[in-house]
Amino acid sequence: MSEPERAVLMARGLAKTYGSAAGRVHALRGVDFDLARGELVVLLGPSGSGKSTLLHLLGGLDRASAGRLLFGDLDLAMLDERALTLYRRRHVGFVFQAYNLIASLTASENVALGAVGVERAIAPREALAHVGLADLADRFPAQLSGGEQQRVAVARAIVRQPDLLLCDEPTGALDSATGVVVLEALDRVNRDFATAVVVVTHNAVIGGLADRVVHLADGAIVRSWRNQARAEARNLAW
Amino acid sequence: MVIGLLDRKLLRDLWRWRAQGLGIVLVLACAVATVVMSFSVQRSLAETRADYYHRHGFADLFATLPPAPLSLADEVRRIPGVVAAAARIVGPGGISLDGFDEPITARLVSLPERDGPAVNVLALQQGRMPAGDRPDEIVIDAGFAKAHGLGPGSRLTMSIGGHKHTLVIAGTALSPEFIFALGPGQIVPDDRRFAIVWQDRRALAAALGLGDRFNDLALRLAPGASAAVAREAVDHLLAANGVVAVVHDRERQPSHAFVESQLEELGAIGVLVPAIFLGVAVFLLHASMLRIVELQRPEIGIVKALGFDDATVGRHYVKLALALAIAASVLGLPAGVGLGLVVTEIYAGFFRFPVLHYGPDLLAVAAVMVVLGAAAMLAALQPAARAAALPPARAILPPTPTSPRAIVGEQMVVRHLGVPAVLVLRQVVRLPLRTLLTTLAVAFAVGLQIATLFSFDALDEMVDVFYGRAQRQDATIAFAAPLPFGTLADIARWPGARQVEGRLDLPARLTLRGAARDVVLAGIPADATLQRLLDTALAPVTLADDGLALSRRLAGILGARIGDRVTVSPATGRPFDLPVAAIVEQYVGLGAYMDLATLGSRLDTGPIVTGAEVKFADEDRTDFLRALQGSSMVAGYMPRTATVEAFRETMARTLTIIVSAFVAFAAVAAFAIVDATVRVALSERLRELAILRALGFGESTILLMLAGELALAVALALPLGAAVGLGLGQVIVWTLDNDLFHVPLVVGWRSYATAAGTVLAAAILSSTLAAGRVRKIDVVAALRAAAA
Repeated sequence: MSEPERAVLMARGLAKTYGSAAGRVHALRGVDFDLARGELVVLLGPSGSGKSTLLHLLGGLDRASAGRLLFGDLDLAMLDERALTLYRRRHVGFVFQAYNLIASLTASENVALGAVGVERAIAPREALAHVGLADLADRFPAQLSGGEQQRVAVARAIVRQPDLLLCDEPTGALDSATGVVVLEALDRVNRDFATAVVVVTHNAVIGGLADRVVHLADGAIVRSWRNQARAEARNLAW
Repeated sequence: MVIGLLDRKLLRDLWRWRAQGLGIVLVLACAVATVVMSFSVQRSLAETRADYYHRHGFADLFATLPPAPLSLADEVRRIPGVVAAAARIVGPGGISLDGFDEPITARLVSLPERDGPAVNVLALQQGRMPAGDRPDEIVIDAGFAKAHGLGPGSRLTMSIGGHKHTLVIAGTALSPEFIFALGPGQIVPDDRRFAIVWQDRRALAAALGLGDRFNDLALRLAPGASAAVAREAVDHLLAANGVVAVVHDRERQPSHAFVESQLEELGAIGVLVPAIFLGVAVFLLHASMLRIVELQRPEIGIVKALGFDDATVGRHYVKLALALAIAASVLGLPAGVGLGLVVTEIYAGFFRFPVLHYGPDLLAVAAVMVVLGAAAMLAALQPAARAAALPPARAILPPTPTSPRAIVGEQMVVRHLGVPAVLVLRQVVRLPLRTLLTTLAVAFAVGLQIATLFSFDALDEMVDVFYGRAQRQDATIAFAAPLPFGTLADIARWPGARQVEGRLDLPARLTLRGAARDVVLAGIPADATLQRLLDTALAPVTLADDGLALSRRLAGILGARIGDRVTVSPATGRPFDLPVAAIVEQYVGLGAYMDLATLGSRLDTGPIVTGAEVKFADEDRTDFLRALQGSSMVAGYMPRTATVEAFRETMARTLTIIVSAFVAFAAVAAFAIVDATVRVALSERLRELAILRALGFGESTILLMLAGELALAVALALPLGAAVGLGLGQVIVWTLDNDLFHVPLVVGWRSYATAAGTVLAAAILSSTLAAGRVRKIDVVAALRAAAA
């Protein structure tokens, strides 16, 4: 699945630096990274290794300082803010560690927020059903458990049937059992919709779920391997 | 769909934040209410007066002239632009009332002829007009009748033309000409000591020995006719007939001028204070919006990550501000309209308008909606732009903690006050903008109150300086006509008279380098002790033998400085030049003074006096008043205490009413500002406080920390608020300054204490309410959210 012609995303020499000349921080140092349609990649690495930065660049939340990042024919580095916004809306779904649900919207409304302006979006209730929360559609985030909130966040990300589903520590705030339920949801989305999924985590066990595991350290890819067979999410434990 | 979901979020956010939002909404609503109230009051009073003038044919031009034949009035009526001319008789009189031992001065005015022109038509309040065959019947002004409990059928003993007459009151009335009846020498109306009496023309002419002549003209002009042109034509016609008359338009008609100055004052303060309220409200909204955007960073982040553009996010926060503005309008508009009615009714009673037209100023309502909307957008602009510009990758992360800085003396604080005190200090130092916003908001709460409360201190100061330190006579007497200087010696011999000082009030025009002003130049003894002049430091000034003393405002109008030579042109007599020898402080009226003897020597008439300041022994007061009553030379008598009372009454029923409403709004706003500030601050720190709770800090320690931050902000805000209040007060003082009253900027300790007390009470109350929320903190939930 690593042939360039099948790549949804292709990054070459991707770099990101923060701060002024005096106190410059190199978050990413020339990373090459491809992502194929239907592929599930887990990015592993310690804090500060650059995995979240890479995820933000892939999702168009941030801009690279150097390098190229192609989504099909689209070079994200060349896009203005408006075009980046459209890119996120049409092609990307996000899941964050902090769930980031809008407290004043119900589960179904939070999911509907992800469908705004996207023609191919599925019904919010269908997306919720996909993560096993059809019955809790009208609850507010404060009325849901952490795992349920994160599954709502997954539903919000997939409601638009994105090409990419980018997850930043999706189980970071959850216990093992709840985390597994969320991972099952991600796995199902990946298989059912052939959505390319990138999961950032510092939890090596989750790597078993992936087609490919990419290990980052100090802003660079230090190792990368492909799993012979993907583990079932329910068999994972940490 | 975009609008739907984000707007739903907005509405639910508003509901969730209703307690915090209420404070902001209340301050905005106060601003809206003050604007609508002020403008509605002004508009209603102006319309009521215009309608009154129109329905009762209030004259446009007035002329006082020596007795002239009625045929002259016919010639005046033929002047182009003149539609009606009432040839009247006006004269002085005195009233004796049982049970009131002071002399009462009256102005007698002849009643319009039944088929005569409709000029200054009376609005009958009680009884009827005098019967044609009853020359002894009169109509008196309703204010005087009310002050003395008189009505139809009451009898009055009057002295007219040197003879006593017993007259019967047929009715009481109001007149557009005497909305405020100001007696000789009076600067504020005194209903108990001055009356307007209307009597049949022939009866009055007979009493004053005028026969078929008249001595007063009141003219109505055609709509659009120029008063200046008509005045010149009247002047010309009378001069051509050998009549030296004083012709003036409404601007110099005492009642109209007084009402005008009062309405102007209301107008000035009615624009300025609401503008200040609005400014403060906009600041609070701005500060709150900044904090709300900061609080909603993660939500902004996810909305952007979901593909909403910057403009949509920015618009969302502008809409939030607009929603608060709309809520404020819903509260403020009816409050303003309702209060406007109450205040207008009070004023209408004071102005004695026979009818009242109250209506909300729809233009003001529309304007305030537009201004409020624009102000809300202005307040939201920067916070919304900040939300729009927030990079999504940064927004979804919690704000980076700022690096802690060691504070000088920190260890000493730890030793003496413990760790929580250091946390309070660090909080303040680490987030200076937040501390600054809180401090400024509370400072405005203090300042707003001082800026409204000081009016009461200023009034006390005016009375103290003008009627306490400057004027020390027991009474002022106005003579019916100028009298020789020697008359003072006669008065000094009246029983009980202890001290008598003469005065010569001379209408004159003062001119300096092209600037001119018509004033009453007062000649007083250089070493006067009963009416003293005070310099700008309020120390007594001795008049130079040959120099002028000008009140500060008059000096400002003329651009006069010490040593400038001012040309004095008396209404009758030759002009002369005098140097300005002193600038004096005078809070009431425009003042020009010179030595009485020097002034006398400058006039053809020689040393004369038009009135006297007297001091008498309390125990001989009755005898003194009896002598006064028996004297035919006295036209007016004004006891100082009564004048002070009348002054206070006038102020209490004009400026004080609207200022009291403003003070009430300021107190509400102060409470709202402090409460909103405390609530927003608590929301911002909820997670942090939960962590402290989890770490083992007790509720009381946490409350102490919250209270400590607020106490620090309040401590900083009090002196700052005093400065803000003084600054706003200065602007109000500049705006209120007119020829009649010069309000000094004086803030008494009571005002400071009230302002500080309100804010402290609000702080304590808000902290108590906050304590309830602290107790309810779900530590586990907050920690889970904090960790997430």
